[in-house]
Amino acid sequence: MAFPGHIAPNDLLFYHAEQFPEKYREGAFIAFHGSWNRAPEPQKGYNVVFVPFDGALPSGDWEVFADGFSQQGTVENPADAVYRPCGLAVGPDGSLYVNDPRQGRIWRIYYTG
Amino acid sequence: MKLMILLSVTFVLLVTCGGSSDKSNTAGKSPLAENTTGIEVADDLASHPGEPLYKKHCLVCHQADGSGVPGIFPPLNDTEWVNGDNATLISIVLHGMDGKIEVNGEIYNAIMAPLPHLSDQEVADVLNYVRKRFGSTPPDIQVDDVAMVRAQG
Repeated sequence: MAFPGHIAPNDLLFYHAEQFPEKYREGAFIAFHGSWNRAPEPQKGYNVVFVPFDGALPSGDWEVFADGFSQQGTVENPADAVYRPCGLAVGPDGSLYVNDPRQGRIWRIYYTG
Repeated sequence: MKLMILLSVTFVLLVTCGGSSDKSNTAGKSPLAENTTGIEVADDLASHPGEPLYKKHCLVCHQADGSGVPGIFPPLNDTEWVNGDNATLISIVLHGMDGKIEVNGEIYNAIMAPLPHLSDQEVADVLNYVRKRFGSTPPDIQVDDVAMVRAQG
């Protein structure tokens, strides 16, 4: 499995909780801080992706799980990105937390059924 | 069945009013033309001899619009470094730079690679381009100035 170059994985978390639907259980979330060195091409990343797992190995392709942190349609220059994902954590109720170190924001992502 | 992301009210407000303030102040200066990077550059700069040099040697770190990379590579837009002493600016290109510096109130800590393989003419061209495009002091760096700084080692 390969990801686009330079998109800067900052955190990796295996989801052992039970709040999210079946497909997410025991899968991996990855926080991509976003690239700076793809210029003059547009930058990439600035998102949280999910990789499904079956046992010890990925069971499918990665997919973007949460996006829009940069608040730019396309990030041309890293300084334009308003927020950039960094750390991941799971709460006792199974919610996924994502943080941004630029401005200190934390998002809680939860499943409503 | 869907995953909900909790967004605060302030987050939504930032979406609606953020992002355009830093670009609007360049719009009235001179005619603008699209270059290959998608970044607007004034016509008289698109043909500047420093333009291809900037793209080749500076852009990947300092970015197409000179905004740099937060926390790593400082911006070039109206900084005391770009607007300041010619010899210091020349020296940074020829000899590189490292360690923690403060630029426009933000801390940056990374390595600026030395570019001694650039000719005196190329250093003068690219710095005058940077001054003209991103600075507010005259783009008056001469080839002789570069030769002098280089000779000082």
